[in-house]
Amino acid sequence: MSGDPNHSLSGDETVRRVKGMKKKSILFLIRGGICLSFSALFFYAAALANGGLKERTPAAIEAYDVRGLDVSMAQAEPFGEGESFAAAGVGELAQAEPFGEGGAFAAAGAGELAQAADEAEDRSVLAYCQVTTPNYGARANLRFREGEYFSADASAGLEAVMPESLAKELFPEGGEGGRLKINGREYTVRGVYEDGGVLTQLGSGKIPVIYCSGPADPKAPAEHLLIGAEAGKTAQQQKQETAVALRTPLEGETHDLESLRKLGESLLLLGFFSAGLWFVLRLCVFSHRKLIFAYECKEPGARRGFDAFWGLGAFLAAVIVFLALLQLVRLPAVYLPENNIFDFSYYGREILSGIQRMNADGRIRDFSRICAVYLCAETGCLILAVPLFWAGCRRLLDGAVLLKFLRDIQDLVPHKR
Amino acid sequence: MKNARQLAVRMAAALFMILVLCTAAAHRIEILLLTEVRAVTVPPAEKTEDGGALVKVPPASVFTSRDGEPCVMLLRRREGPWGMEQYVEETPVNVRSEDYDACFLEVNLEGQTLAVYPSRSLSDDETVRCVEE
Repeated sequence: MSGDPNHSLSGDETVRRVKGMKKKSILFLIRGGICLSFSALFFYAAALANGGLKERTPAAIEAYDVRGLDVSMAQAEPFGEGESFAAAGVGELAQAEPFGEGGAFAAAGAGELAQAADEAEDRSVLAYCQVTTPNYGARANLRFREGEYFSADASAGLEAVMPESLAKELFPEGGEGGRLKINGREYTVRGVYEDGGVLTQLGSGKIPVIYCSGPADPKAPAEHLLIGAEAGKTAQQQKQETAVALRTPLEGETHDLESLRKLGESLLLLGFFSAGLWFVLRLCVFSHRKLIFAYECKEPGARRGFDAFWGLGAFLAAVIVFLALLQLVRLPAVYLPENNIFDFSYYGREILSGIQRMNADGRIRDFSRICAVYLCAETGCLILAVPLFWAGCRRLLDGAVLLKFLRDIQDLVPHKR
Repeated sequence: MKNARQLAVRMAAALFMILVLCTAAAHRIEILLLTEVRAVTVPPAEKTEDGGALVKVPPASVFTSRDGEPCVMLLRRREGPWGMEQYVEETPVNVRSEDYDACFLEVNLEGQTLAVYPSRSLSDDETVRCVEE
């Protein structure tokens, strides 16, 4: 206990030191518990972010062109029902009509659009309006607070769905069934969809999006298509198949939202893998100690063999656990560099591109931007969770070792007396 | 001398453990880094007027080789260090006609398996991982 082997401690001092060590071990255990609790909390937050990513973004491939794709809304309409893709028309952005002024809305530019006002035109708000096919709501994973997405039933007239925040502003008593005026046209509010959590709103633009039935002009080009993702097919493959179904090539950008959703899952698994590595390393350290002890042990026979057996067993267990953990590493190949996994410049470029995507002044409700926000949040939580897990395990182990040591001492003390 | 020997043994044991774990990790990384491809089987060939063969394949199965000529990537199997593995073999082709729907190739590839929609650009003799649909 003291540095000098000839120095013997008095009884009181021994008791004091033992008490101090007891306190220390309890402190270790408490700290370990706290670290593990926080780690679990961050893992849970990461899992929530991953869940949110799946809930708030479509399992789809987005073909997108701000100038409009070579597909008209009328062309996309027959595929809207039951087919695997949904289409949204070019949005129209109109300046809000001055409050209470007659004449409703002023069209802005070739697109058209608008301003959303209640029937009495008491309240009006600048909104981004998109004409969509009836299946767009389901494909885009919109969740409804009131009502539902409009159907293909033409007899229902012009219908629209609006976000919760806008509905509160225009229809404080409840949005469903309300009459909405946009650019002189009157729509029935069929449903009010949820704005989503903080992360969804961070990824979305500030201007609310109203989805309308239509189209007013059948020749109006579709701005983007949401193609339902199918397992085992690449984005390019599905885009090609859709082009074949529409009998027209699809130009414009492609956003593989399904891959981003899978990336979220892979990151979570990578977090579990990183946390689990602690056990592998501990097993390796234990195995190393036992093997070296067996090698350096002077006593022949059972003791030496016993240590060697434990050392080899622990190492074998470490390898098996490591192999099992490696199965959790499932990053999609499209997000990995070619040939060299340690190509850090590649990861840097990917992260930079993600950040640029988040800051891009593109569509109002940009799904890939929402994905990027969720992925960043998830990664941040995992970066905090893993070191906390390691620290927690380390503290618990230290505490347990110290407690065992104290118990051994207590067993020895009566013999001395 | 004795201490140096002990140190060497300890280092050797640690190194051995690290190497075993790194080998396992390298195997997994290698699998992850393999280019993913989908496979498509070439349908029966049609006879052309001049007696040649004409096969219809998806446009995604036709690539451009390094010298700028059209080619297809045939999916083959071979024995690798970790057992059976799949690789692609670049085969030059003549494209008779093409559109967004299909390509017609003047070559008899009937029944052969072609690599389509790779996750990255492919090169001849590259080991790939075939994803089942």
